[in-house]
Amino acid sequence: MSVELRNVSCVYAPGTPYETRAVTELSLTIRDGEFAGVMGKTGCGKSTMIQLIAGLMRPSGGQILLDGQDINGKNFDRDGLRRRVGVVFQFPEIQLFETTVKRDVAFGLRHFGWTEEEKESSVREALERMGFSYEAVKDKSPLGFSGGEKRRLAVAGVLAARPELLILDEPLAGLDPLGREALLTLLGELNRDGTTILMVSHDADTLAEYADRIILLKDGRLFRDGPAAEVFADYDALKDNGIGVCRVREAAEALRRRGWEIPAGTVRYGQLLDEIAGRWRQ
Amino acid sequence: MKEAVQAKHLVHTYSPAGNGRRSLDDFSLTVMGGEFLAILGHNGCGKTTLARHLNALLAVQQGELTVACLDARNSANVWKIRQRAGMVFQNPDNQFVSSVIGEDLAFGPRNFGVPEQEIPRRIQQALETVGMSGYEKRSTHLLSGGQKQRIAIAGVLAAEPDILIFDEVTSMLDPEGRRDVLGTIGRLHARGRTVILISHDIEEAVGADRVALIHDGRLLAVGTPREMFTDADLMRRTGLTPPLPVRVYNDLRERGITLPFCPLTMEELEEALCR
Amino acid sequence: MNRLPAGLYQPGDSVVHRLDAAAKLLCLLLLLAAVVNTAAPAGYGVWVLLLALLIRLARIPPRTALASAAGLGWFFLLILLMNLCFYAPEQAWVSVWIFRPSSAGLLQGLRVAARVFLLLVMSNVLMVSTPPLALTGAFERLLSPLRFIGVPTELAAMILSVAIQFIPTLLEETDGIRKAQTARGARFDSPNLWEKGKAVLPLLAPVFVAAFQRADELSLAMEARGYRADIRRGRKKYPPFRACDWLALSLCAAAAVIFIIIR
Repeated sequence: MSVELRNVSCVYAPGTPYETRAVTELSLTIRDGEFAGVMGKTGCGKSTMIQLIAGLMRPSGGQILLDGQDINGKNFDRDGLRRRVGVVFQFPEIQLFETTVKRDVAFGLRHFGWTEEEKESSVREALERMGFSYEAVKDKSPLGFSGGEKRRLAVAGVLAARPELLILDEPLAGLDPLGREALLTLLGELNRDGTTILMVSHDADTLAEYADRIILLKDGRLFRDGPAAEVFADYDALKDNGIGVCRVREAAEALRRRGWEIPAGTVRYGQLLDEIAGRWRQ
Repeated sequence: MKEAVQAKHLVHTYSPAGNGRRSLDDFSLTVMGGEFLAILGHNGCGKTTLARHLNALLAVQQGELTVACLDARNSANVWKIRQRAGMVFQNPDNQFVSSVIGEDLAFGPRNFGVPEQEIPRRIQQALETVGMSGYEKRSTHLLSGGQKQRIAIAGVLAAEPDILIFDEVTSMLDPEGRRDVLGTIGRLHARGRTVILISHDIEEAVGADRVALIHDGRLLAVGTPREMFTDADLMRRTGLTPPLPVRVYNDLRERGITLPFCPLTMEELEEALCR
Repeated sequence: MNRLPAGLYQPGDSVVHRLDAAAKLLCLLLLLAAVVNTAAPAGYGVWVLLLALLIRLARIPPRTALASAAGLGWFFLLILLMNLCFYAPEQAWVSVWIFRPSSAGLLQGLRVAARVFLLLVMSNVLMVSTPPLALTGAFERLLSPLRFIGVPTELAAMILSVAIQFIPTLLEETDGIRKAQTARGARFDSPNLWEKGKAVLPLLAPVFVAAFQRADELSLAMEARGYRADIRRGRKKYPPFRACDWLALSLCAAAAVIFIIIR
């Protein structure tokens, strides 16, 4: 699913002392099938942006188009939007509450008018997508799983609606290395099979490794937008604005300062290793 | 220097019958006074169970434990141990008892019977230590995550403990907050406090004096960060990814390039490559 | 959804903002006593004028002041209908099944609805013009004389303090869960009351579970910081009321006395 923001602004609590411009004149396009990473400091407008795209907030100005249609337009199918756009919020596992995994994952399917068979096959597929065996987990209580597993169950609950666009807000926060690895691998597969992914994260290294492109917000405005190699290349500008750069890029920068001819767009670990090995042999 | 913590053959299980999975299994470890010890392992390995023993939140079921030279098996020592060993938790929002920062910081000292006229000085000092002087009258709600966690640390410091236990205190923070909190922890260690930092983020442990690796409730190994992180087999067994410089060192060696030494930090990596 | 929840404190320096929180709380109680004792319809006319004056004095935007009552239109309607149909069955105009509408009922319905409305808006003015911290302090202060009759006021104050400190976090969390469930197709914004009601139940479950988890963690943190319910803590000193506080209290007391006498 393609996403287009046209000059979108959003003001929170207008007319009160708490009035804040969360997002200002934001324009960008996410192509169908892309894996886009969103970065920026806390309070930069990331959360507002994803809520606007998911139709959970209305913009004060501008338009949001999904597959070319204005989601706040008169004839837009809001129920369809709920199905086609999935949102995984921060720490989604706190929402798990049903008595069985099957019921919990199926929670979002009640209003779609699907038959029982359709629902079941969708729940099965979502659980398998998130690395579970349907038969093994369907009747268990979702509260009995480990932290990383609960996170993946919560994501499965969102995937059950077969969204075309999956939005994730800090999906890796609080996970240990094993949990992160598992979730990232599954998200990568999902993206390869055609789901457009928009992932908010502070983890620049992960985004550099997985995302096709990085959207960088600052004070509610678009600050940088492009492939990780391009966005992270401008090391000084990012540092000056207090934006964390990935460790790989930091290492590359340190070596560049020592006179090594490593490209400024070195952002992935494999790239860094190749560059170092290449220079070392010379 | 004296031992701050001495654990011998600790066993702990959460199942009432005592036959379930052991969260701690024959766990022995000594932490010296003034030491900065990092405890690493993935979620569910027993780190938190251990932390709760050190602060007498969990009673010793089997084995021996002394904290600040006090026997934790003696229930009369519970309050003294809590005063000597302060603990900061993961979620900053779930640690405050008052929305006024000054009121919250007074909580610990009042509990431990510190005279009322002494408390304002304690609060000021604690706030200064975490770099938040002048915040007494403010509300906890308008702070960033990192600031909240530093206030939580100040709340523990106000009771003036010798040992500080940090249980995954950065895992819910953004990079800026994480940097702030880790900086504060480093300063506390530099001022002579014993620091026990529990984490699953290996980068946080690079600056520690020693690192203990826990897996399935057992102590797998303990040693300097260099000894631990360069042991590829140990890293694999604990499910941890070594810091970037160590990974570079290991992977280059696989390609037939051996650096003069194994770097732990970015600066060392630079040095190892440019020498 | 881009609006603030009703009752959120909004900083300001109006006369009402500057009053002592405990005095304001007492004033609210006096005014409420007066409102409940107002019987004549003309009395409610006076109240509406007084309320407008109060909102003006507090320099709160009327929309903000009325926010607490604004979303409850259906509730007022319900109060009105219930009273209309059941209050005075012996004076009913007609009798349809169990419904016995009467003019006395209509009047009583209007009266109750007006009381609830005044109560909501006045409390809202207090909340909007008083920092939550000052409010907790005020509660503690007003409760503290109870310790002479053996009420554990320190414990009560502790509980109150912890509860108030938790409210914004819980509100935020509830909002987060509501949004997540909306994104999964729950229909909180449905005009259909039945749909709306059905959506609320699955919201409550995780909100409660999360609240209990937080409470559990907090109790651990409190224990770790040496909390024991059995030790005595120092008593707080409160600043005395100033002239303006006494003036406000006298005015409200006068209003209460007048309305109670003339009923």
